[in-house]
Amino acid sequence: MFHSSSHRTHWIFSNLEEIDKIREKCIGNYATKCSVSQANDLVTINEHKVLCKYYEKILFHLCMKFQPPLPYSVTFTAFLYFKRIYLQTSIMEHSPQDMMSVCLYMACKVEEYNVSVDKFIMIYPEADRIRTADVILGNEMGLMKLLNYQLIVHSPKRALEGFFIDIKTRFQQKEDFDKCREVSNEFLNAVLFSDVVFLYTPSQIALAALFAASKEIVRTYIVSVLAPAEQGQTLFGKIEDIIKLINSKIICEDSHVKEIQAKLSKLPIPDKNKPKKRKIGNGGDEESIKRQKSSDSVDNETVTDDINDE
Amino acid sequence: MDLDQQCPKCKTSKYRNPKLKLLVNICGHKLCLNCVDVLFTRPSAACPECETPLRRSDFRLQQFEDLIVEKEVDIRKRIIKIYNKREEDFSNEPNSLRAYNDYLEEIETIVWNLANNIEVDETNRNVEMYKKENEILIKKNTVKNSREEEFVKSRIEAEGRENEERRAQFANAVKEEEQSKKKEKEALLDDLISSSKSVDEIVASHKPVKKPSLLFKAAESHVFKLNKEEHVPLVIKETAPCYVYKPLEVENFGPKPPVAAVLRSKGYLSNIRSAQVLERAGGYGEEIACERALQEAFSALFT
Repeated sequence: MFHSSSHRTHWIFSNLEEIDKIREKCIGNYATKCSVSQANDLVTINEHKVLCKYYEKILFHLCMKFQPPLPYSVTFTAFLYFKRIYLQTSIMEHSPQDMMSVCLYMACKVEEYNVSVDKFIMIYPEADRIRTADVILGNEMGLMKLLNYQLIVHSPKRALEGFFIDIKTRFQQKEDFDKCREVSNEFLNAVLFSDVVFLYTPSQIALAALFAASKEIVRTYIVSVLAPAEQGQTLFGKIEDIIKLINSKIICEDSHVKEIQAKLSKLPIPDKNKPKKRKIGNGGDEESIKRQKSSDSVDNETVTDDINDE
Repeated sequence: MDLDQQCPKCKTSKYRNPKLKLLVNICGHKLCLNCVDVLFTRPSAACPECETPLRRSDFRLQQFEDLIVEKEVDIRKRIIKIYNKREEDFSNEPNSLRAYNDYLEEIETIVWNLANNIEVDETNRNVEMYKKENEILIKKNTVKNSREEEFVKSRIEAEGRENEERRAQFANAVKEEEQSKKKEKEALLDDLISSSKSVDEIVASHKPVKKPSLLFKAAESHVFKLNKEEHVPLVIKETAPCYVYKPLEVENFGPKPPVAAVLRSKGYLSNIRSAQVLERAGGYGEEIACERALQEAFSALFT
């Protein structure tokens, strides 16, 4: 349940300034770690956001490549992992290109959407496949550490489904209400690209998605069912804030992105305390067995770590 | 034992020849005893698989099915003989536990490298260097370790002897008791034949005195001995209050969702895909999904 999860206790912040402050601190951390003294060399917060947005777009395209299509919860989880990582570390520390794939693969595992690595890499162009597989398997543990092992993410999709059921039951209007689904789902896709997920709970986001699709029904629903008095007013305020935030998009132009990437390539990468890669001499079979083992152990850990969350 | 263990040279398997004995040499490849006899008519020859020159005397019985493990165990034995520092050797360093753990980690790395053919030459050189540098300490610790081993061995032996004694004592007790019973019976018969008293009286006088049996005594003496050593009186607290069940209350920061029991009667379930027969067999019902969706929807709406 969301209200007792690590998602609520650790990953919902009170306002945008607080989030920006954390990002600023990360850039400071990076500067001291790699002893970059010239502030001009560093990537600014704005550039950080633009680059994240750029990679989020790529991640979205990756998610769309799956056949059969990925469930929304997997996409959402992958995005949240990605966002959480670049909230806590600077984009200068870990390559977002790599992290993106690891996030998506980990999300598939945590959301119990079974894809083996060998199948997973099929969404990449042929030349990148082997490298991507190595990156994913090499960074899984690192990713979990960066996420503080808080792996369970609550997506607004289920909450939206809950509202659909509740509204349909209470208002007895079935056919036309299902038309709202399309708009709501699009709204949820737009949610992926904003910081809304750090500020509002999944249920509030879901309600906003429904509000975007059908204002009248949601208004009467809130007033007559959920919260008649003051609480209803604050809830309305929140929904409006969410919609406003979603509409204020970060513009990311290709030329700007290239500039930032050029800047990034000059910056030093801090020593990752990478786990020693242990290779078995005889190659072939043992390598694949090892892969399987490592993925098994990850599964176990996620299970034990998230018992508290559920 | 696995029946499909096979000698790589003559392809005999455990299934075809139950007496098959697989041997391993330092390179970690196996070979059956017959092949070893044929190949090593001279004192040394090359391994048929990796062509490492081997000596006949280095062959030993394969203990583990996985040859990598076998090889690693071999290397570990050798390395441990050299790297035999003990925890107390680190006691004068600032962070002794850390230092000791680092040292153990170093041993693991060496073993790993040697077992998987990573930087073998360099690792071997390091080991040699370490051996030279710490020659005195190694010798000292070898002596210490062997003394400890001896102590453990003597303890095990002493324990075995004690057990043996106890068993003998027990057997003796059994024998004695049987004998005394026999004697008793004979005396009764003798009395019945020779005495002038009435039968009832004689039987009464010979009624077995209720003395604790010797068997029991032997067992008891043993138990008593043990108790004396480690008996701790049990303290029973009588005042502990009884456990009272309190239902779990969770604040969900939102409106209270309807409970699963009323979902059907209020018509919620008509708006959700109903569970299929197969799913019901597994214990799933549409109430579960419905309740969960509603909980998620109402959770933390007001935060």
